[in-house]
Amino acid sequence: MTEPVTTMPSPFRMDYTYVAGTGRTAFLRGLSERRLIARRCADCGQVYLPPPEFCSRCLTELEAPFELDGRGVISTFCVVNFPFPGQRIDPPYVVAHIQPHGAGTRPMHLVREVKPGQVHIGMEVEPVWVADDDLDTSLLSIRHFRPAPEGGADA
Amino acid sequence: MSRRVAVTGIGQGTQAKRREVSIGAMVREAVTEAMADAELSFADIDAVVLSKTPDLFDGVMNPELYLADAMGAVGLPVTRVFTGGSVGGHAAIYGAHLVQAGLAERVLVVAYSKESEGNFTWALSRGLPFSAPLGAGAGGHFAPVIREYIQRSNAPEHIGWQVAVNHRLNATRNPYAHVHRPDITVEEVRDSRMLWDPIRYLESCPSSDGSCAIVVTAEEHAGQTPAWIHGTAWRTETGHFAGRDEVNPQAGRECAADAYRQAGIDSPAAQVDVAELYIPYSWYEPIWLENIGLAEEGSGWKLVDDGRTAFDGDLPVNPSGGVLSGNPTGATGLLRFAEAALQVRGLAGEHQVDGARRAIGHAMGGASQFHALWVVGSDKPGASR
Repeated sequence: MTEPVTTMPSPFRMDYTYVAGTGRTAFLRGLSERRLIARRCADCGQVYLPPPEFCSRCLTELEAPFELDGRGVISTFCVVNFPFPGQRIDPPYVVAHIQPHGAGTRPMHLVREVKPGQVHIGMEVEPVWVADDDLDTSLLSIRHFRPAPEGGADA
Repeated sequence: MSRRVAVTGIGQGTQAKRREVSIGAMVREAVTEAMADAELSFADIDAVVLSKTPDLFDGVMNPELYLADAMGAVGLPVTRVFTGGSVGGHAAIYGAHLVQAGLAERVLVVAYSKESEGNFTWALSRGLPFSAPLGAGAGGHFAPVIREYIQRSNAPEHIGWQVAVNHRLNATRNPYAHVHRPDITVEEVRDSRMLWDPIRYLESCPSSDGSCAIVVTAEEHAGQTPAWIHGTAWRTETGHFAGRDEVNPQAGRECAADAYRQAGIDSPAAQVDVAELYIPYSWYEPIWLENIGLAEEGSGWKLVDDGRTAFDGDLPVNPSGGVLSGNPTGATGLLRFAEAALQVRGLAGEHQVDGARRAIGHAMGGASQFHALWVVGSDKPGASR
């Protein structure tokens, strides 16, 4: 009797080309210039960073873009403690929800230049940008966040 | 609710890594069992609803077409529902809607995932063009939310360990569950590997293959042991809007309140006998208890601490063993809804909760963006208890 055919490998890969859209253009261009572009909802007053075109609560178009310095506070975080496929950094490392001062969103990013055990909710952090030659119209322009002195000059 | 609707048939496949069986055969297991339970043949079915998570998970595009034969869907309207991990709950509600609306008399709702044929972590970790690539994995999304809950509620850390023990002990009563750990202890959970601090290995769900199917019918076809549908609701919110509270999402609160209103429930914890909730990480038990109104905000963990949500408590949660004991994501939501129905039909076998006459099935999807909940009961809606 012949062996049964039990499985059939089928590799699968695709590279996608996304259209950024008019709203994201300003945000992505800002990243390449170390500028963080936010927008406010005129109805509820909430500030979005990054900004979509419309407020997700009120569904109204957001106001004109303005700049935030990117400093903020860790509203919560986890410590990734184990290796898995597709990882970019050796564990342990901290992934945090960071609420930028002046914004109501909590984008996720890495927190480095601090031992994971010393990170806490409420910690002040600031973005660390890549070198000039590596700046791009992408969130990769921010390498990570790091602890910032509390109550700094522009806080 | 304009027309009385009931669950009259339930089937499920064994949850495990199932390399011995094809996707179609695994789906057919659940379908055959549900049809036999409902005492129907395919000729009696008016419409088929399929619940499935992203095509990337197991690499099949348009499974609603691929599985037409396995689901007995030839010549019938087929609809695929998709709302992330909650999808099985949404599919059950959509099936009920078809009957309530008079568009069908008997609907077959089918759900599956076969995660061992693909790579779930890869599919969830693919690059998104407008987010920072962090490589945090699935738990990396929920772990910070859990930390925030613990901080807000001042819950002691053993709550997460106790939930993990409760659900795994419940799973020993359920022959379909993926994880069977009859000797599990709080100490074992506490000492298990830290994955996404504060989530430990034994506080996490497995990745499973599995299937589930139910038959939903109008009152005229309800048979001898129906689970009557007393209320259904689903709600959505986006994942990252400014000012969002992900620990206690507004969409989840409003979803539960709507379902309770339909069911005539004004004191959920007192009026519900058993709850089967979507809890992929142990801390989501107190988080959802509060979100869906079974506990006061900030005190869900006390129900766990007092033993009230254990199998012999006054509000047992996840008698099937829950998501922590088996997670075929496309079927996970429907399994929750089906368990609630099994309980009020008195057909839950070893995991039957004594005297269960009203039960909640609950499902959550995405980054707590999709919420679905139904209330089912042994009594006809509108009948006095």
